[in-house]
This record gives sequence, C-alpha cells and structure tokens, in this order.
Amino acid sequence: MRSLLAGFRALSHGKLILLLALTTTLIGLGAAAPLGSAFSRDFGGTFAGHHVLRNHPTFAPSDVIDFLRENRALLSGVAGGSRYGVLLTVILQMFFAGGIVVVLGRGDFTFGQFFEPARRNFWHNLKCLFLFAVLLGVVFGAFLGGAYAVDKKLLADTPPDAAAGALFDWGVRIVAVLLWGALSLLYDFARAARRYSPSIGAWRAFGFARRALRGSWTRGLILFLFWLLLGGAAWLASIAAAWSLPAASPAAIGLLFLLQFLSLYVRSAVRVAAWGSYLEFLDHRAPAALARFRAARPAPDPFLARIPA
Amino acid sequence: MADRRNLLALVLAAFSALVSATTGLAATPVSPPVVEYRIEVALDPATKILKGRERLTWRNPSADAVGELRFHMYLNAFKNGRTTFMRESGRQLRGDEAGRKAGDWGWIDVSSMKTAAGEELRPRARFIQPDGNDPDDQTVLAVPLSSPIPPRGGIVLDIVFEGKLPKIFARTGYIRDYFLVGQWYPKLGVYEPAGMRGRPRGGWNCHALHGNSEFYADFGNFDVSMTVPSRFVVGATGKRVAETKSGDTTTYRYVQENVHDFAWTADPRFQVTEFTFEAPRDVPADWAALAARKLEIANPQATLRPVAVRLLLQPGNDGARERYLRSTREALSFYGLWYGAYPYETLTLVDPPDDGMGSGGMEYPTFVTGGLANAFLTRWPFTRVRGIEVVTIHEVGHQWWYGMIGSNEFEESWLDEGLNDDAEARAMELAYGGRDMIQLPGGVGIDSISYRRFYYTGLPNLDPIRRCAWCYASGHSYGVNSYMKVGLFMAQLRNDLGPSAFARAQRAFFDEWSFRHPSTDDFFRTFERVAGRDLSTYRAIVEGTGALDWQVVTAKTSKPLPDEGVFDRPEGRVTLEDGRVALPAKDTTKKESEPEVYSSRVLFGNTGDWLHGAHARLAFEDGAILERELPAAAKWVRYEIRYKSRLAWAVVDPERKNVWDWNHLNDSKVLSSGKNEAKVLSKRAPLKYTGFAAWLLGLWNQLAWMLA
Repeated sequence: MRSLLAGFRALSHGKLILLLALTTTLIGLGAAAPLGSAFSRDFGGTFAGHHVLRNHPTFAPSDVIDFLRENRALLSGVAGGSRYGVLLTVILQMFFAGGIVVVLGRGDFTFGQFFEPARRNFWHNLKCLFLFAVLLGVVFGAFLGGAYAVDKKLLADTPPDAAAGALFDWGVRIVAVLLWGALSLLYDFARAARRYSPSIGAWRAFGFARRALRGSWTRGLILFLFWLLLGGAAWLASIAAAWSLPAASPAAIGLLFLLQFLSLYVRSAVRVAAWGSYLEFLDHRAPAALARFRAARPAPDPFLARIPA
Repeated sequence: MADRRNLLALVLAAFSALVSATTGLAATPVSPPVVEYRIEVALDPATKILKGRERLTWRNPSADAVGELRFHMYLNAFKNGRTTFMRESGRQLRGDEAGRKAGDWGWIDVSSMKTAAGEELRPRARFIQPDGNDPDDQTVLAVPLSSPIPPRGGIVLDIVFEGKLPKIFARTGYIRDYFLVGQWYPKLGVYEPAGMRGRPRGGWNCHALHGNSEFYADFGNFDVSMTVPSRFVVGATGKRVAETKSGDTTTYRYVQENVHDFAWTADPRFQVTEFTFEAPRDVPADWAALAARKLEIANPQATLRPVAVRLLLQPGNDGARERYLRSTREALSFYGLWYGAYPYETLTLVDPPDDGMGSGGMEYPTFVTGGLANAFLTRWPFTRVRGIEVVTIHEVGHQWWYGMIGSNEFEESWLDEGLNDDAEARAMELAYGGRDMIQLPGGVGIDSISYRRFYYTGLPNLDPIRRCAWCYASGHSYGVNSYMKVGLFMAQLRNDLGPSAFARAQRAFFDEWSFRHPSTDDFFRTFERVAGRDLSTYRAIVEGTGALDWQVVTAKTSKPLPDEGVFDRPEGRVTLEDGRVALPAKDTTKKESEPEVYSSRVLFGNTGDWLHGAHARLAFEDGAILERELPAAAKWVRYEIRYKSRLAWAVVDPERKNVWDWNHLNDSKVLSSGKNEAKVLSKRAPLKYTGFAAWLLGLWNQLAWMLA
C-alpha cells in the first residue's frame, strides 16, 4: 500500500512527466513530418480532404485508400524512419531512467540533479537492457516452445471451441504476462540498484534485484500488475477518447490535439508512477539485498547530499 | 426407341430454350437431363475412406458420335505434391495449407466401370492431362468406349469407386470428426456441342483441377444415399427423402433435380437450426418495391417460394446464429427479387470449425459453407465487421450465379464469381447501408465499392478480367480479376446504363441462361439487346487491362490581362499600356469603372487508356455552378470561362459514377484564392492528419517503453 501511494505521489513531478511526454511527441512529429507535404498535396486543396474530414460514408474510405496507394513509397519511408524513432525513444528512456531512479522519492529536484545521474547511469542501463533481452529470449523461448509442444501433444485433436483449449490459451497468456512482469521487475530493479550503490555493475545489479525480490515476489508482481492494468486502462481510455473525436472545426481539431497529447502524457505518468512505487518498495529492501555483496558495498551517492530531504 | 424418346425430349428442350431466349421467359431445365447420378456411399470416419457405387446415365446432347467419356477425379488433386493443383497452388489456398503427414493426402480410385451390357471399361481408362504437361496429375480420367454413343443417344454406367478424403483443404476433407465431402465422386465433364459457348466443334470440356480454378459440370438429377455412424448429423445437397437406421449406422437419402454437383457434410457436433423462408414475412417491403420499380415488374415477390433452410452450426458459435439466419433471408430475398425465384425446396448452410476453414466460404447446389463465425469475431469491437454476412450472402448468391447460371468456372470465372461479387455488394449495401462491409468504433469502416477499389488499384494491372483460371499472372491476380474487378466493372456498367436498364438486362441474362452454360459473348449479347446500346468499349476492360483516370489537371482563376501592345485600328496604329492608349497620345482620362470579370481556366484530362466520358462541375464564389459533360473520346478538355466571379473549385465526376477511376484524389481542385467552405475545410485536413500521424507514431514509440 505504501508503495502504491508512493507511486501516486510521484505523479506530482509534473515537469518530469512532461519531459517524457514531450520527448515522444517530438520524436513522433519528426517521424511524421514528411507526411505533411503529402497530406497538403492530396487532402489540402481537394475534395478528398473535405470527405475525409467529414468522414463521408463511402467517399472517405476510397480517398484514404488512394492516399495510401499513391504515397506508398513515402509511407514505407516513414515506417522505416519510425524504427529509428523507436530506437531513439528506447535510448532516451534508458537515459531518463538513470536519473529517475536516483531523484524520485527524495523530494524536489532540479533538472541538473536529474540529468547528472542519468548520464552517469546510462551505460549501466544499456548493459542491463542487454541482460534483460538475453533473459527475455531464453525464458520466453523456453516457455513458448514448451507451450507449443504441449499444445501439439495434448490438444491437437481438441475442437477449437473446447473449454480445454480456451483454458490452455488463457493459461499461457496469464503465465506469459506474469513472466514478463517478473523479468520487468528484475530489469527495473537492476537499474534502480544504482540508487543505492552508484558503482554497482549490471550483473550484480540483477543479483541485487533478485535478492530484493526474494520473499516479496507476490508483492512485486502486484505492483507490476497494478500499474500495468490501471495504467493500461487509463492509456487506452485516453486513446479511445482521442480516436473517437470527430474533429472538423478548428476548435475541435485543437481539442483533438489536446486529447492526443493527453494520451502520451498518461503513458508517461504511469511510467513515472510505477517507478515511484518500485523505488519505495526497494528503499526498504535495498540494505538487506546489498549486504549480501561483499565486493560492492554501498557508497554514498555524491548527489544525494544536494537533494533536499 | 429410347433414343427416339430422348431425341424428342432434346428437340423440345431446345425449342423451349429458343422460345425463352426470344421472349425473355425463364429458361426451363433440359428434360430429361443430360446426366443422372444415383450414388450409394459409406463413410468410415476412422480411415476417412469413402466407398461408393455410382449409376451414371448420360445422354449425348450433341449431333456428334461420342467415342470417349471424360471424368473429373478431383480428389486426386490431393494425392501428392506433384499434381497440377498442388504445383500451381504451392500447396496453399486462401491462407490454408495442405497437410503433409501420411494421413493428410486424398485420392480416388475407380475399381470398376461397367456398361449396362456388362462390358468392363476400367482397364482401358487412362488419366490424361488436357491442360498441360503435369504427367503426375490424375484429375481427369478418359474412358474410351468400344462403340461411340450416337447423337442424342445415351449410356448407363455402373461405377465402383473408393476415395480417401484429405485433411481439410481447398473446399473438401476432414478435421477430427468434421467432414465436408465435396468433389468426391467420379463426375462427368461437359460435352459441349458445336456452337455452345462459341465452340466451332463439339468436344469435352473437362479440365484438370487447377490451383485457381473451380468447377464446371452439366445439369442433372442426383439421388444419393450416404451411410455414416448414427452419431453423425448429416446435411447435403437437395432434400432428405429417407433415413434408415441399421445397427450403429444410418443411411440418409437425398435427391435433387436440375443441379450440377452434389456435396454433403457430417459432424456429430453440429447444432441444427431450421426455419422456412417465407417471402411475405421475410422480404423487406421496400426491397420488393425497389426491385419492382427498377425491373419494371409488377410484383417480383409473388414468384418467391418457401425454402426450408437448415443451419448446421458449430458449438461455440452461437453468437453467429442470428447473423447467419438474417443474412440467409437477405440473400434469398435480394437474389430472388432481382434475378428470379430460388427454384429448390431446400438450402443447407454449414458453419465450418475454425480449423476447418479450408472448407469455408464455398458453394455447392442448395448447400453452402459459411465462415468467420467464431466467438472472437462475433464480439465487440468486431460485431460490425460483417464477415459472416458477406460470406453467407455471397455463397447463397452463388445458387444463382453458378448454381443456375452454369458458366464455365475454369475458363470464365468472372461470370459466376464476378457477377455474384457485384450482386453480393448490392445486397450488402441494401441491407447494411454505407459502410456495409466494416464498421469499427471511432467512425472507421469501409463500403463495398471502396473495398473493391482497394484490391483493384492495389494490384499490378497485368491481366484482363476474362482468362482461363490458370492463366493469370498469380493467384492474387486471379482473385482480384474474378471477383473485385468484376464487381467494379458491373457497378460502372450499372451507373452508365442506369439502374433500371442494367437490372432488366441482368434479369434477362439470368432468365435466358439459367440451367444452361453461357459465355462472355452471351452476356454482352443480352446486355446490348436489352440496353439497346453497343457495349463493345466495355469489352476493353473485360478482355483487356484498360484503366480510367479523369482528373483536374489544372484550375486557375484570375483577372484577365489588360490589352497591351501595338494594335492597328481603323483610326490608326495605337499602342496600349495596361489597357489604355499610351501612343500616339497618352490617355489620361479617368478610366470608366467596368464590371469586374475573371478568367477561369480548367484543364480536365484522362490519363488512363480506357476512353470513357465523365461529368464535370465548376463552382464559382458567387454560388454559380456550371455542369459539363466530358466526352468519352477526349483525352483532355479545356474550359476557359469569363465570369463576374472567381472560380472556387472544379471537380470531375462529383457523384463518383466512374467507379473504374483509378485515383479519386486528383478528381478535384479547390482554388486557393477567395473564401469558400471547400477551401477552408480542405486546409484543415493536412494539419489534422499530420498531427494524427505524429500521434500514432508517438504511441508506437511509447510501446517501446516496455523495453526501456
């Protein structure tokens, strides 16, 4: 409960959330910018734009289809470019996570106090990502491979509507989510290890995460699922609100943009809140988890002293 | 004596067909029919083996002496990976893959084929490859006769056969205890007499089963008895006339006249729903009124007869039941009203299991399979993704375009698939309105015409609509050319002829050619006669790859330039500057205020290679509208209009009657000068959608946070 409340308290860091939301907005805008001229040519100054804006029941679908076909190469380029956008997002989030784990839950902070540990922990986070990816491949490879083999062996002759098949499918989905949750917790906690031991290595950080979770896996997974479900619901609701707004007037288009940004903001807020919960959860367990390491004794974080309590 | 009776019957049938062709009355089936099948078959669900005996009666419809019979042995298409079907299809069809395990293959053997006189023909029978050089293909069996069948003569054969069903694939087979038994018996090809479908000489039309082809057979009578374990629920072509239990098996006897194929199904898990289609109750009143108006028929509903419909549903697909039933009623209503009454007493609708979709979406006479009915697809947000309705209406519609109009699906697939695709789209539009195919939350959806344009314009334009099914550049090209492109072609033709003339022409085509085998030429002949127009240009898009793309190439409006330069006038040479005399003496008087006149220039062009007219509309800022017809023969038309108001916009084909048009984005231009609603709205669209794209990409990026 304390951890959940800490998550909600973390939402007070509006500027941090705004930073994350603006980052993805700008990356999205950059990737979509080449489409602007295509939209101007095909939808601006033609009736097609009129039809699409008004969502004409039969003309609008044809216009959209023609737009997609006539701009196939451009769209392919944007899709290709968006992969770099995703890569940039991952890198930036890794960078930001290095700062978040140090400053969150310790009162107000300046951007300087945020960016310095972000820079310092970047390589640590990158190594953690590598280990996480390996773990993910091994665990999910084994799990999904095993599930496929069991499905083929036991359920090959089961009709598609049979309860056994549905139960098995749901079982696989639930276990997959739990596995994902467990690995995510390990990954996040390994990154958070730098909050307590600024020089800990990635491998040991995963050991720290494992020890921190020993005996508390259920509570950890509850935290993960809480933010996954609550955050997912809030995110999807904000997306649905933006998606279903038929905006044709300037005011409505303005409102649409606001709703769209809101959905990006919600996702950022949920991420920050989850970090808030995780860090509170770890604050109580870190000393014991670190005590097991002889080589990596906790060293005082030079920046902690500069953050007001 | 028997031959004389047959001859008389054939002459009467031919006379009746001739009369119907000239008066527009519905054709009557040939009587006695060209073929009659009496089959007894037993299914062993454990081994998937069919053991059957077939008594075949064939009457030579031609003036030729026929010395050989040709049979389709379709199950042999699934015998190994080297058959014509397997080679051409790459062992996959419509997203379904052929099984590769030992028990997954299918085959059919004929162990005996005796004449009424007791002569065994089997030893001399041989597999032939009429369409190519696949020596391993055994889907066509040629049976030489010791004495030719004389013109109008006949033959009776007793055939013993054994077939193994494949694991479900390409319309037939089994999965667990579900059996869809299609193309399962030795089926005679069509002997086409000289003149039929433009044939110079009589001969067999009996193709190998190809990767992209369907079927072609003669109309006849079927009397089939199927023996299965009693736990199975059985459905079949025709009407059940007997059910006999013997030990733990039950024999079901079905009979049906005037059909060209027979299929059946068995599954112990089927949930049966039965209802009787009654026109007075089930046909929407406005549909009947519309059909009456367009067809100029007093009461098209009056001819519709009751139909006993039987739905065989998979357990777990309860959510689809009402949708199946509703769309079946809609199909029987629409096709019955517009083309002619369903002439059979029964209709069986089979819902295949999710892992048996290889048998889904298929038509057999009085027997169709549906699809896309599983629980996932019948729940929100997919409740208005009308896959069940599209498939059901389409397959039931095939009872008309394939079932009664027996076109050659091997050689002219557009005549059944394409005409039915168009009819299905119209039925869907009538039943479900604008976004008839898909309506998703948030105003996202698609209508039938846009759906077809998506496929047509997304395909490299390599093939004409009319080709033999295995001659297309690819399987996808076969599909688009046989279905969607024809749907568009028919819509274009309807828009050009007008809905009434089109409807009457199509009705006449159906009336004249039901229970017969029409060709593309027959289609055009009937349409030209009824519409009273030469339709030869339309052949360019059926037999060629003609494309149409009318567009507004340029549209400009400005004040006309003032007179300037040197002019020889009666009073002498003058030089004008800005419309006023500059030499010999500068005109310094104040210029009289003239009413403002604007010059607007619009260039319309057709960059396609199919020449076809279009309607053009020009609107001015004072609200004046100018309508013009762009002639079919023109590649471009330029208008220069001097008018007191500026041009606001120009559009070609504003009502989108030219569904064949390749690109609608270039159909209009809204001018940047002046103020008008179109300009204001079209300026907002780029801003909104660029923002929308950025948002989607932002969301996509945020998903990556799962990793970061």
